[in-house]
Amino acid sequence: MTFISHALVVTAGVQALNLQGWDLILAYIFGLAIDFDHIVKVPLYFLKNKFKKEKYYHWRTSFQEPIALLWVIPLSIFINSSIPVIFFISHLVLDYFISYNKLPFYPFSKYSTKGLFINVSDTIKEVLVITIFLCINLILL
Amino acid sequence: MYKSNSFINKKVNKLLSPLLKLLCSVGITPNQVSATGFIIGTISVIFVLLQKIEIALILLFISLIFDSIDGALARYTKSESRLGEKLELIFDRTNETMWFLALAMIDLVSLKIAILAIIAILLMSTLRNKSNFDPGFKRTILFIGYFINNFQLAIEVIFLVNLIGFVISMLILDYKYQKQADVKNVKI
Repeated sequence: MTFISHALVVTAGVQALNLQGWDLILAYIFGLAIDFDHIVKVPLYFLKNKFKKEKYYHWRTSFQEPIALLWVIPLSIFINSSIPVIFFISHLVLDYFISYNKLPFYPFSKYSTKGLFINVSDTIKEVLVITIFLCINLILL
Repeated sequence: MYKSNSFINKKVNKLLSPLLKLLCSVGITPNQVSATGFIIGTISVIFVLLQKIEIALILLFISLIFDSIDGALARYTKSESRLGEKLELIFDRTNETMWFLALAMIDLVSLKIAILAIIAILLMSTLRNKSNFDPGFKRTILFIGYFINNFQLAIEVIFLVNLIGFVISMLILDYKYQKQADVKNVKI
């Protein structure tokens, strides 16, 4: 999903759970900043396409796939906080609403999926999420 | 098969050359060296449980020497095998697990961090061969833990470094997979 949808969901979660300080930072890291893994593939993209635009380039890495729970859960236990797991899963769920290819278990398996509700248009799902979470944020203000 | 730094391997082989020649002439195999190292490592755990940490660390040090000799001997005799590598991996992980749990049993570290460190090392080991990356922060850090009188901190460092190592390994593999797909012009 787009940055706006993720930001709205994380902000709603932060308000609902009344997070502050370190927990607030963790929420934004695992709910939003986790998308910065795309940087890893920037050199490859430019190597392949130069400055041409390639639609549907696979920017995702296993950093934000369900397999990443293998490191997110131990980290959460280590820091005695469930915030990373909760916001990481919220990020995953949103991404799995959008129907581009994902490798949920890579590098352990090359199984790929387009995600959830693939028959519904991505734009509709995106607009719906933005509307709902914008409302939730406004209510929680 | 995991390929460790070849430059270091050459240096180690050169340094251990007389010993390797001797072991080779006596007919000792790399797997026998691994097994001996494992037995010594297991005995060291008994000393941890008896709270004789100094003796335990000396034995651990000896077992680590055996651990580095087996690989060098395998390279020297050109007898590197998947079985040998698996055996070494099982011995190493078992020894680490026993050490961490033993430290938890005598209350030098919390059981939580001991289990987390074991999980992180196991995760790291699952991708080591594919990504060819291993930070190597394992039993050797226990010596630092002893010198700073803080095994808890040492195990926490082992946990964090191996967990970060696992994440880096995943990213390395992602990068490789994408590179292959781009070269073949295939969509993932």
